Amino acid sequence: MSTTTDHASLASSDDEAAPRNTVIVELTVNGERRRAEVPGRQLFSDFIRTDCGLTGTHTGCDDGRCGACTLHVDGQPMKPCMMFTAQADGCQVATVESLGTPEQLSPLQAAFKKHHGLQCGYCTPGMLMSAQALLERNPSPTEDDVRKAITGNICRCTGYQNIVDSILAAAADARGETYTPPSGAGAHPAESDGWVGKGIERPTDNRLLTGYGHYTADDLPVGTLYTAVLRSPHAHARIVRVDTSKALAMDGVDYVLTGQDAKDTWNPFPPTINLGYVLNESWPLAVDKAVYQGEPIAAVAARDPYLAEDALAAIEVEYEILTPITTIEQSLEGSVKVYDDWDSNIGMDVAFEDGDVDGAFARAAHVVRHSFHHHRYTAAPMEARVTLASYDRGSGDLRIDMSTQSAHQCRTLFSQILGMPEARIQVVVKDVGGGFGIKLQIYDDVLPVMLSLKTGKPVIWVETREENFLSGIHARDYDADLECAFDEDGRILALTGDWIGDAGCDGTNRAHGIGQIHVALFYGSGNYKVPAYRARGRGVVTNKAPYGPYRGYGKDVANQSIERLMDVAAKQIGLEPNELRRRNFIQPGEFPYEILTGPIYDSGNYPELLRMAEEAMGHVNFKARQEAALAEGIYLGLGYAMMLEPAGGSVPNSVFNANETATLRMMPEGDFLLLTGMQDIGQGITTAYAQIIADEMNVDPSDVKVICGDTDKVPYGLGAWSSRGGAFGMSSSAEAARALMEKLRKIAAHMLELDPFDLEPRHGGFDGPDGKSIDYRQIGNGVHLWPGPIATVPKGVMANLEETYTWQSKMVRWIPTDKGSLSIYTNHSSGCFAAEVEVDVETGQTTVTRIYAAHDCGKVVNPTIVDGQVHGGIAQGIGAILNEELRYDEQGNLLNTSLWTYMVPQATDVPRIGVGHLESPSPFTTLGTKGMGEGGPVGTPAAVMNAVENALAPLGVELTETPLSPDRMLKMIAAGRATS
Amino acid sequence: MVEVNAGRRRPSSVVSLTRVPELAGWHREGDEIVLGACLTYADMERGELAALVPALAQAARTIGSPQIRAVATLGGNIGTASPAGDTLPVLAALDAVVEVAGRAGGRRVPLLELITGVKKTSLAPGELVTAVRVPVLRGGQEFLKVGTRNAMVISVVMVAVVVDLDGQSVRAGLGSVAPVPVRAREAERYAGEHTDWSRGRLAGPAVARRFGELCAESTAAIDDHRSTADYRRRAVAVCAARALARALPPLEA
Repeated sequence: MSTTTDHASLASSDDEAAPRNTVIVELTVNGERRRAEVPGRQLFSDFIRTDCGLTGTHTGCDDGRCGACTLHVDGQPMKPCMMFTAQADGCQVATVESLGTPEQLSPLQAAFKKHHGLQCGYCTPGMLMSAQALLERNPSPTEDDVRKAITGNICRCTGYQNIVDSILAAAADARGETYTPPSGAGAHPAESDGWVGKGIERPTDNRLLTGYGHYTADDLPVGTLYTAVLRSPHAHARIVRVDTSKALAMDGVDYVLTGQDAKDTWNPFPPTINLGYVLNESWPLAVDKAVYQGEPIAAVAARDPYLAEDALAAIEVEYEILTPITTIEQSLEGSVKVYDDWDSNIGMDVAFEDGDVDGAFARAAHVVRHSFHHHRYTAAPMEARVTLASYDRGSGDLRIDMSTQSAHQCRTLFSQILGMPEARIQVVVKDVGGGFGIKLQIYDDVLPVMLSLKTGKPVIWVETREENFLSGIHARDYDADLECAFDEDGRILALTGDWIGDAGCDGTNRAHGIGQIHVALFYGSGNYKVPAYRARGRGVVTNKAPYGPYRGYGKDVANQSIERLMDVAAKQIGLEPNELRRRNFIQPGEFPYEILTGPIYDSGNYPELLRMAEEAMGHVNFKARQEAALAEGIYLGLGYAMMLEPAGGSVPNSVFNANETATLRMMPEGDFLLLTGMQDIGQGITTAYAQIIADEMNVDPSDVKVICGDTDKVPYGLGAWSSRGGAFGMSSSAEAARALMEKLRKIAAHMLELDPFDLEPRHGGFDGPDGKSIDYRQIGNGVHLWPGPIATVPKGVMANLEETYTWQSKMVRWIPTDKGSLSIYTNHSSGCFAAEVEVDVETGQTTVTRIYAAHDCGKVVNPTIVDGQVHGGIAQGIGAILNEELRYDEQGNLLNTSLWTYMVPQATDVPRIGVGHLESPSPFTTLGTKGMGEGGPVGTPAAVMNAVENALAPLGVELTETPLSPDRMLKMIAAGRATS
Repeated sequence: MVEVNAGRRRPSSVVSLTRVPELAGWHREGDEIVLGACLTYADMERGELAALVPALAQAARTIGSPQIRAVATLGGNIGTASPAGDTLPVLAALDAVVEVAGRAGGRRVPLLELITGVKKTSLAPGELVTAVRVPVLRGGQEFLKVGTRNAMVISVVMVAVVVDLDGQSVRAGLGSVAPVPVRAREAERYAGEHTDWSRGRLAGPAVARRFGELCAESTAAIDDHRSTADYRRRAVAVCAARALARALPPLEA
C-alpha cells in the first residue's frame, strides 16, 4: 500500500492558474452589434449562452465532439466550445435563433418538424446549423453528403434517419421538388378516424427548433453559484485527509463541501430498490473510503464555473491506495471487499426453478451450451445531468429544477437525505435532453442542493461529459451461462440460465441497476415455450461506477441470452435458426400466456413478426447473394433476433412502483388541462396524450394542454421509465377523461333538462333531441360563472370540472408462489429485428448495411413517434454492440471518458432503418396500448451478432465476447479458424 | 483547447494565429509546395491542392467533422505531435520539411526530426511552425486509416503510401503505431525492388502482401484504450498492402 497526496486529482496543472485578464471584443451576433469586456479565458459558448442570453446554443461535451453548440462564424459552422470569446472579435456570428421563430419556422426547421427530425431537441440547434451550412453550400445534396455533413453532430434520440430525411426534404423543397423518403421508412397501420393512430406533428417542436426550449441550465436566477466536483482519482482508496482551506480562501469561492461535513449535517443515500438485496451505506461524497474512480470527494460552490474549477486545484487530499476489484472473478473470490461491513461482495443472489429440469436434460436429443461476457456501457444522453437548487431562506422552501425522468421519487429521496419535510421541496422538470434510464435517481444531483442549503444561494451543477462517464450510471457488464435441452425436433425441453452482473460499487442506492439481473432471470425464456426452467441471478460489487438502468433493464440481458442461444443451437441441431424459433414460439392463439416465472404475456403474434422481417430482408434470396459475395471474398451475413419488451414494471419495495395518476380538468372556457405524473423527456408524450384526450373528449389536440414534471402541480406519479407510459400514463389519462365525460354529460343533461342517456357527444359538446345542444364552454361557464353551480350541477355531482384517476396494473402479482413466481410487468411488446452486415475479415471491421424491425406495441397512438423511438433505439443498439464500451484497466481507471473515445454512433454509422407494424392490442390496458421504446436496444444487439456470426460461418466463428470491436473480432476469427 | 477545457492544461496566456496572413494558405515553388502552418483541413481536402497532394487530401477528409476541419490546421497537427495526428504519416512519407521561426531566426527541419516523442517536439520555447514543404510527385498516393468506425474517429492505425515514378521509389509513412510517425524503410526498399518501373506496376499481388508484413514489422505498437498492439500490427499489414495495391496496381500474378 502506498500513500499519495493529490492536488486536483483528475486535473493536474502544468502552469499557474490563468490570471483574471479581460479582453474587449466587438462582434455581430444575429445581426446585432455587440461590444463586451470578457475574461480572456471565457469560452465562446459561455459568451453566447450567458452574456448574449442565446440559450438555444447547447453544450453536450467539453471537447468539440458532440456538436450541440454548433453555430456559424463568418458563415462557417464552428463549435464555440472550442474557441475563446476573444477569437470571435470582429466576426459575424449566427446562432439557431437567427433561422426562424416559433411563429414562423424557417423552411429547414419546418422540415424537421414535419419529418420528426428531433426528439429531445438538445442536439437540434447544432444539427440545424450544420444542415443550414450544407444547404447554403450545396443545394442538391445526396443522402451520403447529408450524413457526412452532420458527422460532427451527435444525436442520441433519433437514429439520424428522420434528420437526414428532414434535410433532404428541405433541400428538395427549396428546389421546387417533392422529397419522398426511400422505401423501408415505415409501414403504418391504416389511418384511423380519430386522433389516436395519426402521426401528427408535435406542437412542442416549434420552441425546441428555434432556441426557445427551456433546459435546466437555460434559466438561472440572479447570483447563481456554480458547482465543481473534486473526484477520486483512485478506484479504491482510504481517505486520510482532505484540506479545503486554500480553496475556501479563494476570492469568489462561497463554500467547499466535504464528505465529513455532509455526513455531519445530513443522512446517507436511502435505498431505491430492495428485493432481498444486501444494501450498502453510502454518502453523497466519500467519507472514509472512495470505492470507484470518480467518486465525489469535495464540491465547490463559486461565483463562476471557471473559479469553481480553479478552486478544485487548491484542495489537498491524501489517499491510502487499496487494491481495487475490477472483475466479476475478483469480486466472487472475495479476498478484497468493497464494503468492509459486508460478508462478501455479493449484493444479490436469487434463484428460480420449476419443472423437471434434470429429467429433461437426461432425455434430451440435443444439449446446447452457450456462454458469453457482455461489456459495460452507458446511455450518454446529449444533455448530461443538470440540477439547479434554490433554497429560500425566508420561507424555508427548497426548489430543485433538474433534468430527471422521475420528479416525485427524486423529491422523496431529497427529503430523506436532507431530513427536510417533503412538502417543503418542489422538484421542477422542464425540457429534458434525453434520459434513457440514467436520469432515474439522484446521486451527484444532491451536491448543488446541499451547497444551496449551506450558502442560502441558488447553486447549479452542470455535469461535464467526463463526469457523466466517470460517475454517470453504467449498465450491462455481465456473464451469461446458458444451457438448453431440445428434443429430436428441436423443441425446447428445459432451459437453465446463470447470470452474474458487475454492479460496480452500487446497484441499490446511488442507482438501482442490480434489479436488471433479477429481471433477466424472470424473462430468460423470451418469446418461447419452455416447460422446465432453472435460473440463478447474482449481482456483485466491484470498484467501478454505480450500476443503473439503461434502456432495457435486464430485458436486454434476457433477450441477448436466448436469441444468441437460438442461433448457436440451430447450428448444432442442424436447423435454420428461424425454423428453430418457429418450432418454439408461443402461438398467437395462446395469449394471455403465463410463463413459468409468473409474467403473463398479454398478446402478440411472433410467427407473423418473423415472417414480416424475413420478407423485408429478402430472406429467400439472401443465400445466393451471400454465396456470390463470398466468391469475391466479401463476408455478408443476415441475422434475426426476436424481441420481447416487458413494459410497465411494477416493482415492490422500490422507486419503480405500480400506480399512476392523471387529472383531467376542464377550464371554464371549455378547453382542457391534463396533469400527469408521467414525464416527457423528449419522447413526445405530451403530444400523444393530447391525442388520447382529444378522442375521448371529442376535441382537437390543440384544445388540450398536458402538464408534467412539477411536483407542486401534478398528482403524485412516477415518471418515465420501464416504457410504462403505454400502460400507466395512457390508461390513467383515458380513464380520467372517461370519468370527466360522464360528469360533463350529467351536468349537460341537467342544464338542458334532459336525461343523460338522451345526450350524444359531439365535437366540443353534446347534442340532445329536439335540436337541443350545449357546448363545453357553456357547461364550464355555467358551472363556474353564469349562473354558477347551484343552478347547473345536479345533486350527487361534485361541483368541479375535473376527474382524477389512479391506474394500477391488473396483471401484477406480488405474492410469490412457493416456487417463487411473480408478475411485475403489465405489457409485453414484441418484435423481430433483422440485420444485414458486411465483415472485413482482414481488419475486423463490421458494417451494418441494412436493418429492419417488425414491431408490435399493441394499439399505436402516434405512429410517427413510435417509429422515431424504434429508429433511435436501433441506433443505440448498433452503437452498443459494435463500439460503445466503458473500458477499465486493472487499477480501476476508466479509460474512455470522452465522446472521442466512447464511440456513440454518428450519422454515417447507422444504415437506413425499416420499420413494420403489427398491432396486437393489450387486453389489459384501457386503449389496448402497450409500453414501447426499449425494443431497439433490446433486440438489435443480438440481431447484429447473429448476422455477424452468419457472415463468419465459413470460418467457424462463435461470438463469445462483446462489443464486436475490430480487435476482438480478429481474435475471435483467429480462434474460429484454429478450431474449424 | 480540449486539454484546457479538461483542466489538464492551465496556460497563463494563449496567442491566436488566426489573423496572421503570412501563415495561411499555400503556394507552389518549383517542384515544391509550401503549406502555411494555418492551412486548414478544409483547405486541404478539395481543389487544386487535393490534386497535387492527394494523400494529404485523403487524410484531411478523415479528420473530424466539417466544424473541426474548418478550424483545425496543419501546424496544429504538427505542434500537437500526437501519435494519432492524421496528417503526420503523409508528411513523413513525403519527406516533408518543416519551416520554423524563432527570435534567433528561421530554420528548416525534417518532420521526423521535429517530432521526438508522444506530444513532444524539438521546438524551442518561442519557436513557431510557419510552413511545411512537400514535393510534387508523379505517381499514386493513398492514405488509409482504421478507426473503430467510419468518420470522426481517432485512428487506431494509419498508413500513407506515396509513389515517386520519376525517382522510382515507394515511400510508406505509418501512424498510431509508435510514439512518433514511422517510415517503413525495409518495406519501401522491398517494394521498390519488386516494381516494374517501366510499366509503373508492382511485380505481382504477393508483393503488396509482403510489403504489408514488412510495414507491420517496422511498428512499435502498444495496447491502449482504443486497441491492442497485436491488432495494430495486423491492421497495418492489411492497410499497407491495400494502400500499395491502390497506389501502384500490381501486374496480374
